Amino acid sequence: MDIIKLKNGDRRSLSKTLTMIEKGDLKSADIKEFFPAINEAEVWAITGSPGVGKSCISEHIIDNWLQENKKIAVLAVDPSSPLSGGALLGDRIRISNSDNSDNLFYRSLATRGQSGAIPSNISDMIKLFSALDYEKILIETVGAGQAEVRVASVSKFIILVEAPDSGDILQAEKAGLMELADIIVVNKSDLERANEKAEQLKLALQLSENESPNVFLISAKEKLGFKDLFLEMKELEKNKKENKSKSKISLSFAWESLLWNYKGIDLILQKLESEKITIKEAINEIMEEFKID
Amino acid sequence: MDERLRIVIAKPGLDGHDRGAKFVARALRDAGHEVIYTGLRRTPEEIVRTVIDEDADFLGLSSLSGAHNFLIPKIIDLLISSGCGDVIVFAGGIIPEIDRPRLFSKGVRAIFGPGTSSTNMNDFILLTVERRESNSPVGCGEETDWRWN
Ligand SMILES: Nc1nc2c(ncn2[C@@H]2O[C@H](COP(=O)(O)OP(=O)(O)OP(=O)(O)O)[C@@H](O)[C@H]2O)c(=O)[nH]1
Ligand SMILES: [Mg+2]
Repeated sequence: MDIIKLKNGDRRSLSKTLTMIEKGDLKSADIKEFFPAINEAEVWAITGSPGVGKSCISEHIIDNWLQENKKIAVLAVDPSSPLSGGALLGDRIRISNSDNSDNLFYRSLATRGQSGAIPSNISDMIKLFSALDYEKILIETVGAGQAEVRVASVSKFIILVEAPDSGDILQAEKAGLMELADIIVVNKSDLERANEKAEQLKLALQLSENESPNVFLISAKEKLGFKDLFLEMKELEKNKKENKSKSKISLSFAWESLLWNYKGIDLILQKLESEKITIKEAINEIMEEFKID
Repeated sequence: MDERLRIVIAKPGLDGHDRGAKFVARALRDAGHEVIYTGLRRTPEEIVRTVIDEDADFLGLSSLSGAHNFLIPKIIDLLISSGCGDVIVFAGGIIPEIDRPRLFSKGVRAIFGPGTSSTNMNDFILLTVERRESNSPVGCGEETDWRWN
């Protein structure tokens, strides 16, 4: 890692450093060592079922931030194929006009299978971007399944995107995401039934006991409804209300990454597998280690 | 090879067909690589920036329009001046035989015509990785006559 080049804003050094983080060769503790004072960037996640328009919406959000002269990093996460381990990362296709700005860094990431590993790397990447004075970070991730909920939990704000033509994700997961979301967007308002979808969602939210997020009807294609969305985003950044279920998820995620990053974990798993120790003994052993730290 | 390779597939030029590029992208994904697809009509500057941001090992350029004679050399020049001469460049699409020697001498290491099998592409990728690991020149800005075909 060439720290001088990195600090001077060299893109290739930044990119290479992200690769090191992705491989687990560099941790946020190392980053903190090089950068004593770090301003935390505002981290937004945009999530929702495949094809609802997350990338198209991202483009408008990015443009809006660029117009305000913000330094922006985008992390677009897509699942790796469980069969080949490869991945097709295509979110960039939708990002056209903003691609040339020096204020935008856009990186596509594959989940690479190991549950837990990617989200913990993502928070290290966020740390690096913050250290380099990036002000806004946007994480695009598909909102189905536990891993993605965890990706969302490393961010401060969550936008959940729905569309009239989107296949519904599993009810339970959707309920979980709706509880976490700070903003719900119904995209493709140019299509029939978008209005209907928005009304359904508002109704469902009224039934929940938690304070519910606002629902916005937009069209990324026609660029409609964004003014209100941007105002709401600004408003939230100004006074973010803490959300209990989100704190719960963040805590359990932090707990989990502590566990999986624990250096003796492989040995403990081996001992468990060969029944040399019980789960309780394993927990005690791990706790003992954390105490010394 | 346990390292995951990152491959950018890009389409410079103005033609609006990307069936071939998408086929290549899927085949490489199925071979276990991480493929970043840029979409249509990218400028050389956009493509090079994508290679940098994505920390790509390979850049695959698909051209159907005849723009390759001008655009591919331009992209390679930009890569080299941005310090990305180690990136391995290959091309695909419709590139007539008479245009090829110039592209090869410019640093393109393979040209795959329509109907190329994915096995053929994968063999190329594995071989170039071997070269890279043994410190033999293979990047677009490295001095060598070596090429796949
Ligand atoms: N009619 C209409 N189509 C839209 C709108 N926004 C996006 N689309 C289309 O929806 C499709 C998917 O858009 P993306 O932005 O790629 O969706 P995504 O959620 O990022 O998709 P994944 O990353 O694959 O999960 C594209 O064909 C877009 O052109 C919209 O407002 N109206
Ligand atoms: Mg997308």
